[in-house]
Amino acid sequence: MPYTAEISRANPTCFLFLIDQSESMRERIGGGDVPMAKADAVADAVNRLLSELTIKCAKEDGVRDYFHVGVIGYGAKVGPAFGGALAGQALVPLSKVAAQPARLEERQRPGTPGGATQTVKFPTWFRPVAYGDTPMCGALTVAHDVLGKWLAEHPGSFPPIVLNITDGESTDGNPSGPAEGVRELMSADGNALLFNLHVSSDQSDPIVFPNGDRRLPDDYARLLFGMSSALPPAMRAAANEQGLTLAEDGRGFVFNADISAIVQFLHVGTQVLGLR
Amino acid sequence: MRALTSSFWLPRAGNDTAEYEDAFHPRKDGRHSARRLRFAMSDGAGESMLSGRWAELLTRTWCKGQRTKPADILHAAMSGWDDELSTYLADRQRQDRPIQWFEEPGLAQGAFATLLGLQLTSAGGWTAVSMGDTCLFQVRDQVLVTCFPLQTASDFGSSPNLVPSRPEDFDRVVAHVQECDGDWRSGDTFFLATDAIAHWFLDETETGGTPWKQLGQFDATHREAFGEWVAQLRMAKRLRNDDVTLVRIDVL
Repeated sequence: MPYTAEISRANPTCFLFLIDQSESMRERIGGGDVPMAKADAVADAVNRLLSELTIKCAKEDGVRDYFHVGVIGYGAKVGPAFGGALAGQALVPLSKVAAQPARLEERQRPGTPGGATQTVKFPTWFRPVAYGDTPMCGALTVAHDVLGKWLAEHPGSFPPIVLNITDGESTDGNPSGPAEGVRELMSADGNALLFNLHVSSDQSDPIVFPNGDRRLPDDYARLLFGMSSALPPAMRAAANEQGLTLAEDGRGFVFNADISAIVQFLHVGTQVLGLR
Repeated sequence: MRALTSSFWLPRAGNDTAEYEDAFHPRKDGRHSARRLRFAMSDGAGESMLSGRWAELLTRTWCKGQRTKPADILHAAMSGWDDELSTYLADRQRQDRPIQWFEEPGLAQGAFATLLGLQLTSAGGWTAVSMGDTCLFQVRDQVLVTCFPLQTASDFGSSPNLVPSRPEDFDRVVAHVQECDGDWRSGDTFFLATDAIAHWFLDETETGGTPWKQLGQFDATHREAFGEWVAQLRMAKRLRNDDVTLVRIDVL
């Protein structure tokens, strides 16, 4: 049965984030209390997810390498987006991510009701960028190359998960073919998973993890839906255990995402069980 | 009353023994004789820091204390957590290994673990408390007479209830504790088991098997046979790769 491989230090899986860094990502995102550019909201959510993954895998002997992670940006150029000591690296074991954030900021957050604010450390690995076009085909092609090499070294892994976050149409051609190329990559445990998230500037309600394209508003939404893998049963079950009600053939796709829908997409899309 | 205990434990395949995060008490096998005998088992949560230490503290607290009310037992264990944490932090300082940013949230949040506590008294009764999916089975005359707290293999989920070392809402934690009681007779066997082997046990039972017979054959002085048997079940995908802990209590 696919998507059941045990994830361990000897048999890790990987998450590869593709982040649209085009000019339009400067626009304000829907939702949230404070006005925020889409690029800032996405960078914040992905940095936060990397931090949460690291904390989740931290044990007394250090951070366990259950995951290898990478961020590919696409805008004026296409390539690895990590800053600092990890600059130029496409996929990195989680312990290296833990050891080398580009920056370690301190942020204030509310404490208990009536209590003082708390200072928490907020590591960041990449910065928001919004400049240039939307070369999505180029990003998917880079993802294919990076994952092809990674799979050659990890043939029995839980299949890689690619999370593509964009706000606009591809400017370097129809991305369906390159997307199919990514989804055709496989390990002994199944095909690579490609999940897509469309970030919105307007206030329309997000469409989350649909199981068909009938309710989608336009051809662009239908294109992204068609590029998206179905959520494997265990990931769907984990999401439903946390209060969602996802349909049996729901896809890893969110359209018109506001800030909270980005966070939800990232959590559902990286919720793999069986860490050992 | 008198009982003979045999314990078996293994870390998950691929981990070394220092990474084993289940706990059980008493650790010493053999004959136990007292008016009241207590046993405990706990499974530290994989995604929390120091969960093995917390599991150890929970089982010790159940076995060493006189308390019987779940709220008192949990409160006593939680009260000991700060000392446990201080010891750990002092060790880290001695080792010149400062706490890293990714460890701080987990240490502040505290650890999580299941708990199963069993008490047998010379009056012929037993009581048990449970939080989570560590299981108790009672076998009499080759018949499974008690499964607690889970009754079927399908009852196991991916997020069992856990005892936190630093509860946000103590009363809410206590409200999730389950209790059970019964009687024992000479010749009865009790098994305490963490989730992987407990799941296998119930699965076998549901398909007409008698898993207590297989588990009854292992001798605590020859644990290698148990290790080989577990490895075979894991290879055959009949046993989830997790820490495995089993304690068999034969009432004499």
